[in-house]
Order: sequence, then structure tokens, then C-alpha cells
Amino acid sequence: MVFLEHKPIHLLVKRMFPRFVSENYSQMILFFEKILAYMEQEGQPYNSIAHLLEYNDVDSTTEHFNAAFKNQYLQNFPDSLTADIDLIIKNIRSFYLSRGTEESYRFLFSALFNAIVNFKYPKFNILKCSDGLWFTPQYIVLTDAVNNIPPQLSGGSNYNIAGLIDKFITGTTSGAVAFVDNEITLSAQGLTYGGSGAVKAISIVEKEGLFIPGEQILIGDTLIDNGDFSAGTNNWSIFPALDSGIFTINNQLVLKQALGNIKNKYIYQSIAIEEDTQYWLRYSMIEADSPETKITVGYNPGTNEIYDSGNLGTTSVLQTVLLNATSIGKSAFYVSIFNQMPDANDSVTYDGISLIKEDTSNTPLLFVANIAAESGILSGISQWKDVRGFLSEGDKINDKEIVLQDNFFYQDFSYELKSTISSNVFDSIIKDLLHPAGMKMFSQLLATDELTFFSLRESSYTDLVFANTNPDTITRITSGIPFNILFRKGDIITINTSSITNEGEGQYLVDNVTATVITLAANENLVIADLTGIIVQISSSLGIIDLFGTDAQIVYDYTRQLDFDFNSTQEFYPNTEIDYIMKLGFGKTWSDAESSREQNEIIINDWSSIVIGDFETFATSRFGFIDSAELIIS
Amino acid sequence: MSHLSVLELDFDEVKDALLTYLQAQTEFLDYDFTGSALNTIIDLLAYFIHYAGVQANFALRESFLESAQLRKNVATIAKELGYFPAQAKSAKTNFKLTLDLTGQSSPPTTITVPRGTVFVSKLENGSTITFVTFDDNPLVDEGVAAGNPATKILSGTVFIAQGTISNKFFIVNDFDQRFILDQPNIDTDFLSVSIRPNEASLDVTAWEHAKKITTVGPSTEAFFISEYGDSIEIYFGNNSIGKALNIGNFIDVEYIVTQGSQGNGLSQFELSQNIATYARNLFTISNVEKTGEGADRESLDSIRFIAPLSYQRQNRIVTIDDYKSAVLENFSNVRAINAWGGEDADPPEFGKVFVSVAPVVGDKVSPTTKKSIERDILSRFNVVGITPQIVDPEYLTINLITTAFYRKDKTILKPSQIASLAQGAIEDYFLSSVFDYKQSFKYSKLLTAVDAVHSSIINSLTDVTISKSFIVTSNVSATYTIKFLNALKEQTIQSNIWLNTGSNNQQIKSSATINGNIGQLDLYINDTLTKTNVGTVDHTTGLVTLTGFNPNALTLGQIITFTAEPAIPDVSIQRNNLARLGTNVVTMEATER
Repeated sequence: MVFLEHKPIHLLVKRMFPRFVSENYSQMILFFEKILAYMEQEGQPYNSIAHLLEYNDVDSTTEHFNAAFKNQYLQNFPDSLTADIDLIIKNIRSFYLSRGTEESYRFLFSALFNAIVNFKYPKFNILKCSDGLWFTPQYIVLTDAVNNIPPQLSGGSNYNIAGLIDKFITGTTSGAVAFVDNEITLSAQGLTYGGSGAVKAISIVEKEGLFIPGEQILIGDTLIDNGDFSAGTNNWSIFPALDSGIFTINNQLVLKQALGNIKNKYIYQSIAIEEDTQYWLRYSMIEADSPETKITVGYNPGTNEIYDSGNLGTTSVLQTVLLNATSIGKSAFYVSIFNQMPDANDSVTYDGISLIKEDTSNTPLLFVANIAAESGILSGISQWKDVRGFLSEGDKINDKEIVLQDNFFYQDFSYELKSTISSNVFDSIIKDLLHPAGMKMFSQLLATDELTFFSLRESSYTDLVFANTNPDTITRITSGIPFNILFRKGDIITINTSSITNEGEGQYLVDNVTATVITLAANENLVIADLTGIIVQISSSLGIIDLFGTDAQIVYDYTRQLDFDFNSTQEFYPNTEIDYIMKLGFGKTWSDAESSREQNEIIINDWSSIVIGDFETFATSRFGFIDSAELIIS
Repeated sequence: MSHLSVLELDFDEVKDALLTYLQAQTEFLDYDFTGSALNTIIDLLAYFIHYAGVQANFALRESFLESAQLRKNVATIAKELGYFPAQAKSAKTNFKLTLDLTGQSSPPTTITVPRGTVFVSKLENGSTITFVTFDDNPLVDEGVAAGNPATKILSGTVFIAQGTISNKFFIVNDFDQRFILDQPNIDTDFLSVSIRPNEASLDVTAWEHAKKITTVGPSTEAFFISEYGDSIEIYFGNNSIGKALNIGNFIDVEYIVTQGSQGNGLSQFELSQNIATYARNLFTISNVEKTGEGADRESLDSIRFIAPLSYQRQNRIVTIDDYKSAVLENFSNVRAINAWGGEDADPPEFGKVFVSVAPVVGDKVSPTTKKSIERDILSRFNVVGITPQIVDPEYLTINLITTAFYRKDKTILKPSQIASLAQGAIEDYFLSSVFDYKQSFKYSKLLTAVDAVHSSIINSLTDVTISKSFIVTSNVSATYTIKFLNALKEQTIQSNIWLNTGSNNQQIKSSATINGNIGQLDLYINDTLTKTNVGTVDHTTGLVTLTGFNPNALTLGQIITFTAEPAIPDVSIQRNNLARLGTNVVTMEATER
């Protein structure tokens, strides 16, 4: 604790008395000085009062008051929290404000356990029959309100409307608001707008309200004008009405009946042909409100000397016909779409019309023709977005990560914490401090770089079978590489040495001395060092002891196996060097595990009999209480 | 300094320590500090050190929430945590007030029961308690057809709150002036503040109570409140957060001073004054709802408990503790509260959080209050997508028949007197240790309490049964489930007896175990088995299911009660279950040893 500097008051006593008193009664002065000096000692009143402010300051208080601060500011934190309590208290408000977020979990795991935590949300793995978003894109053609010229791809009013992207626009009359997410190109052959060729339009999303043709457009509170895109100050508005024209969107042709009388008109495209040649005409109508549209092919616009489809109806049509263009002297014919839809706002959508010369493999010609359109506000073809489950390539129904909802783990209100800390340790703490009530919390234990793992394939062991009660003897005959013995509970080892050094983690280094008895707990690992002629007597209550090492005439390889081929689910921490991952669980013996290794699962039912090189000590102590563990080996 | 060396607070030890210190000083080796004159001085100094030590100790302990004892200090520390302790709340109710003006010439078609109209009621001890209207309440013509004499009845719903209306005035003469109301038990819900530019001005502006600082701008005419000692302090903005006052402003504060929870549970009222020109005996009161929502000022223990949770909550509701503390912070009428996530419900309902509130008065909170807690407290601050739901408490009645063995020669009390003491001890045990959520009834603790009642009691035994009631609809076939949530002894469950249309006694009992722990419930009429298998009882979980149950001519308010013996005499309480004491019979039996 750092105290502020306090001046001792006993030094002031002499000054407080008249000079004659201090000179004539020096013992009295001394007496008072001693009394005050006594009160200035630690724990005495003056000392305590002088340090009141420090005691009330979390930075300078004593351990005695840490509990009071903790109860005041960190009530649901565990009592074991001692480290940096002042630091945590000073910053705890931001933690409380972020409770329930991943950030808050990470902070808590770091502060309490010095561990990291990762998250899994099972809801993202649930297969849903219709999880895609069905939406209808909309496009707006803007125009210079004075010249009534939409921005063109080239020539004419070649305005750069890309400046509108990522901005919200507002209609001045309608108050409709939309976000401009892109710039698109609309084919506009025959479009009556004072120019020629394709025009640029904006695609909008997150629309609220209905824009009105002809209304001006705001960004924020400012009218946009052509000065925003190039020189000029004419305000821009939504293209008021396209009295003739058609747009193709996503290679689909949308004919939309206008409010005006455009019935019994047709759009057409002239196609250059060769004499005595056959052509394949292919057209596909997706949907129609009214049956009265049809395709004709003739030598003049709107005629049907070569082909007449008749009215196509309202259901989808896909037709391929072979046309004979045999007439001498004809160099072109016309493919026309008749618009005979009777009602305003009727529409029909063609998924393209193509014409291919019979004996060639020319790229189909997308047919775009002239027809009236309602206005500069266009709806695109409805489509799926953000598909999941059935519709996208990456999330098919047989994807092993996609499962049916089970109302337990795989449901909308569950999450899983993955950490190197057992849930027994953090469960109640998390629930008191962070866990959003109403959700189901799961946990998975991860082991990380603390784990030392050795080759399973190259390690070997030998079972030495003993009588249950009688000791047996292993005589060490070679020196050099130590060997390991795995013991079970109740095993007793007698070694003719008297100097044994505990090397930690259950390892005992036996030196060259006389007999000693060691009783090891289950799974403790005995490593006998380079000592020729050592005699180890072992008695086992279970009758079996696993021996590793040179005495079993098997060279134990401590080299880490790098080409271990597990096809496991990989869960990596940031900045962690991962060699491979292995899942463990209960249910099988070690030999089962050895044989099932390629199945990426080692299931062990009796931890006391696990023999995996040096791995068993760790495994027993860390995973003896859990159903399964995912080990990240580094 | 590893820890605070707390000063010894025993005077003798203070003095001994001082003497030891002085005697160790080389300058005073030849002094006898126990000599009469010097001893007096040492006594004086030791007292001084003692007092200073006590003062230092108190000063330190009053600095922390958990150890502070003075209300003012506890409230101050709570204020640092952003927590405003709950103040006294008035009990409230409403009723129909009718004014019969039949036969009067030119009766009005409406009159107003003005704010501040006083009604009185009586407490159990016979003392009078005052209620007032806190708004103008109109009485209007009921439109009864005119008769002869001309019928004219005015009526309307009148809302009253317990307490008396008080005023306090301030004139601003200093920017550092404090505005302290100097009265305890002020219900801040009814605190209104009006500001005039000066005392003579008629330009009155009502300022609003700012409960959330985020809604207060520089020109917002708002006031704030904080606890000050036993009373309330109001304070104002600084033209940055809230509009500031000017020198000379006249402040008129009006509020209700209440008696808190004393006003709960009353349903008899009298008008204590005339209204306008109409005598009070012309008015009649009907359709009275029992008063409720009255609460005393928050206790120190409650502040110590809730203030840190409130700080932790930061106006958000995430964890189970948040749900509980949010309700406790904003709703005073809580006897016990429990909350649990849908993940812990049976069956699980993920995405929901259940909160069960047992009110101070009554068995459950009203549907209106439940909606208010869900909508105004919980849904405003909880996690998006999680639905809070207030559920009524379910009461599990524990019936006790106790036999206490006592030595006659050890007491001069009558057996009935000792039995009465034992009954009181049992009630105390329930109040202190059982009647709360998540508390359990412990058989041994109960017997310990009974045995401790009097030295003549040698030992005691208690028969424990548990009961649960449920509401049924007569003449409608339905499935009912009753959850005891405790294991039951086989074939001990039975219902109360009700009469059917033929005045026959009907009862449901378990007479056989049909499958493992599942018992069969049968219907008996006049104690004769009439219909088998009307339901089942799971003896392990205590779940009773009646299938296609169609009682007829059910009396007793459509309620059926099942009673059973628990498998073990301890009774556990879960979720929205609360235990309460039912039968409490103590029989004394004399013994020689």
C-alpha cells in the first residue's frame, strides 16, 4: 500500500508550549511527544484517521478492506478473486455494460482463469426448410429533371451516379426512404428518353414507403442534382414515365403494362439471316398475369409468316422450334412479342429469347425489344437471397454440420463455451455474472499446448503379469533411455535405491543407491534413469503392470508424431500452433483406441489403465471427470 | 502494510498497551505510571485514545456498504453506486363513489371529487388511517330513468392513496441551497414540484421528476430526488443537465406522507368530509378493491443487498439476478421473489424467463401489476428475444401434527401454554426459514425449534403432510396436473371431499400402485369405489394427473385440494412454489423421563 505522506504531529508538541515551559518542563514535553508518537503508530487512532482516504481508495486500501470493495462492486465474483482486484474494480463498469456479449465472456475467463474461451452457436447448424430470404429487388432510373435524360453508359448525359452508392435517398413527395446499394445497367433499346443506348440506374434495398415517379430525390436534406455527378445544377428526379422501352434485369425480360393504352402493340428485334438456313428459336416465358402475349417471327415487324406461337397463357412456357428461313432475297426477319394484355399493371416475364443458327454453336442472342414501361421505378425478378440448407451449394441437406432442431442443443437459444477450464469451475460463476437467462449454456473442454503427446503408432508397451500379492522383480540391464511403468492404484514398488528425486508430475528419478519403497498413486509414472543393475520389485493388486522402455526390448520413441492423420473437426485458438486434434471419450480400452484411431475417436473407459506414453498422467488429471474432451495438441 | 491493524477498543487493554509502551521508553524508566497522579493522567490519555480509536473505527466502517450502520451513510454509498433506495409507498385502491341526489331540485349532472379529499379506514387495532384522492375524480350522471321524485344518481370510480398531502415551500436565495423536505415516509410517486419566477408571481410551471438522466436536456424543466437522512432532498439541473433555477424562484413541493405497508389489506372506507355543498352522508362507497402496493421504506439489509446488484445490472437485465433485482428495485410489494430461465423450467421453454413474485399482501399480484412488471420493468431492459413472464406463486401447504413429550416436574406452565409456545415457535420457523422461494422445510430444524421452546420438553415428533389446491371447472371434462415436486409415500394421497349433484360425497384416493412408482387414482362416492383410474400419481416426482376429470356440483369455490405424505419429512421448494404453514396442532404428552 502506498500511503500519502503524513507529517508526524508529535514533532510539533514543543512548539505548542511557551518557551519557558518547554525549557523548564522538558520531561512533560517529552511525555506528550511520546504519547502522540504512540498514537501515530500503525493501528493507533491518529494513524488510522490519517489514512482514512487511503483506506477508501481502491488503489491504496489494505487487504482488510478488499473484501468490502469486492462486496460493493464485484458481488457475484468468486471469493477466490484476489489478483488485480483494484484494476478490475476500476474498470468493472464497462464489463457490466457488456454482459452477455462474447467480449464479456472473454474478459471473465481471462481475469479469473487466465484462459481463453471460444463460442459455438448451434442455431447456425440447424437445417431449416425455408431459410432463404425471398426478396424483390427494385431499381430506380433517375433523370435530369430539366432535360429528362437518364444517365447513360456512354455519350449524352454520361453522369456518374455511383456517388449515390451507400447513401440513403428520400423522395421529396412520398417521403419514401431507401438505401442505394449498387449501380446497374439497364438495356434500353428503343427507350424514348431523348438519348439512345443503355442507361444506368440504381438498385435500392431496405425500402420504406413507395417512391413516386417524377418526384425529386434528397440525400439527407439536400436535393441531388447533376452537379453531384458532373457539372450542372439541374435537380434530379425519378424518371417520370417511359412511354416506350423495356429493361432487362438479370438477363430477364420484363414487360409491364403501363397505365396508358399500349395494348395491341408489340416489340420486336431484327435478326440478320442467311438464305436457305434453319434457325432454332427458343423462348421461355416464366410467368404472366394475362394469357395474351405471344411470339411471332416474320419478315416484317409484328408479322408471323414464319412462326406464330399463339397466346402463351399464364403458366410458364419453354419452347424450342426450328424455323426455315428459305425465302429468296430476304436478309432479315423479325422476332416480335405481342403485348395484348388487357389490364393496366399486368406483366409478363420472359426468361430470354434466343435465336441460333442450326448448324452452328453461336452464343444465343438475348432478345431485347421496345415496349412501354410504366416509369423509372422497376421491380426486378424476385429471387432468393442468403439461402441455407436446401438451396446453396455450401449448405446442403447432407452437410454433416447441418442438423435438425432437437430442442436441447440444436435450438435457437443455446450456446456452447469452449475453454481449457472445466465447466465445474466456471459454471456457477458464469451463470451469476453473464449467462443470459432463458438460454441454454453448454460447455466443451479443450486441452491446449500444455499437453505433451507422443506417437501412438511408434510407442510400445508390454504387460507384465504379476501375482496379485507377491512382488515381482524387473531387473534393469541396460542403461541409457529411461523406461516408464504405469501403475494402478494399490501398486507398490520397491527399488534398491535410497535416493529418489521427485521430478514432478508423478515422475521419480531413482538414483544409484540402496532399496526404498515407493507407493505410487494410480497412473503415476515411474521413470528410472540411467542406472545399470537396478532392481525394481513391483507388486500389483491388479496383477498387471504396463511397462515401457528398453527393458521390454522395445525402443520407446519420444519423437513427436507429426503426420498423425486425424480427420477431426478443428477448433483453433488464435495464434496457437496446432499439430492436430483428437477427440477423447469414455467407452473403449486403449487397444480399442489404437484400432479406432483412424476414426478420429479414442474412447477410453478406464483411465487408470490408459497407456499412451507420457500422456496418461495428463489425461487422468485433466479429463478424469468428463464425458468427452477435445484435445488440441500443440 | 499487509492489513489494517484494528485498534483495540477495550479500554483496559488500551490503557495496558499505553502503559507498556511508556514503560518501555528509556526516558521514563524510573517513572511509576501507576502512581495516583500519573495514573489519572494515563487514564485520561487512555480514554482519549479509546474514544479516538472508536471514532476511527466507526469512520472506517461507515465508509463501506457492508459495514455501515447509519441509514444516511448506507444511502450515500448506495448513491455512489447509482442506486436510489426505495421510499415508502402508499397503499392504493379504487372504488365506486355514488351520490344520490334523487328528489333534489336542479341537481347537477356532474360533480368533482377534488384532489385531497379524505377517506378514512380502520386498522385492526382500531386506530384510524387516512387515505386521500391524489387527482380530481369526476362523478357523472348514471342516466337512471327519471321517476317521481326525480331520480338523479351521480357516480364514478375514485382512486385513493394512503397518507396525507403535505406542502413545503422554498425561495431560492443561494445557488448552493439545498431543498430538504424534512419529513419521513414521503411517497415520491406523488411528489410534485411547481416553480414560480418569484413568490408574488402567478406564473406557475410544473416541473417533472427526472427518473432517467438520458432524457434530460439543458432546457428540460425537471427535478431530481435523492435520499437525505430520513427524508428526501430535491435538486435541480445546471442548464447542462436540466434547467437551472434562478435566484428568487419560488418552489412549491407537494407530496403524500404515508404509513407504508400499514395501509394494505383494507376494504372499509368512509368519506370524512363534505364534497362541495353535499354532505358526506349522501355518498355511498361500493365495489371496493382491497388496498395494496403499500410498502415501507427500503430496509438497510435490502439496500446492502440490492445496491451492488443494481450497479452490476447497469440498467440492463441479463442474468437471473438481474431479473430479480430489477423487480425488487422498482416494485416494493414483494414478500418473496424467484426467477429462473426457461432452460431450467419443466418442460424447458428456451427463450423465456419466469419470475414469480409473492406479494406482501395477498397470495398473488394482480394481472395488471404482472403486465406492468413485464412491460414496464423487464421488457424494457432485458435481452432482445428473451420473453419475461410473471407467474403466480403456487402454494404448497405443509400440515404439522406435533406431539411434544415433556416433564411435568420441570414446569409450572399448563400443557396448553407450552403447546401454544410450541405453535408460535413453529410459526416463527416458517416465517424465518421456510416462507421464501428456494427455501426448504427441514424436519430436524423444526423439531429443534420445538424442543427449544421450553426446558421441560424432552423431545417431540411431528407428522408431516403436504397439500396442494387447484381450481377446477364444474361439469367440464378436462385434464389437470398438480405438481407437488416432492416424492410422495405410496397410497397416501387423497383429495378433499366434495358433494355431487345428488349430495353424495365424492373423493379421489390412490389405492394401488400400478406401474413402478406410478399410483392409480380412483373416484370414491360415499366412500365406495365407484370409478377406477381417473388419474395417476407419480410417487417419485409428486406429479398428479387427472385425465378427463369432470367434477359436478363442486362447492368450496371450485377448489380441490390433494393431501399426501412426503416420502421423507423434509419438503423441498422449487421454482414458483412457496411453502406455507397449514394445520399446526401441538399435543403435549407428559413423560416421566
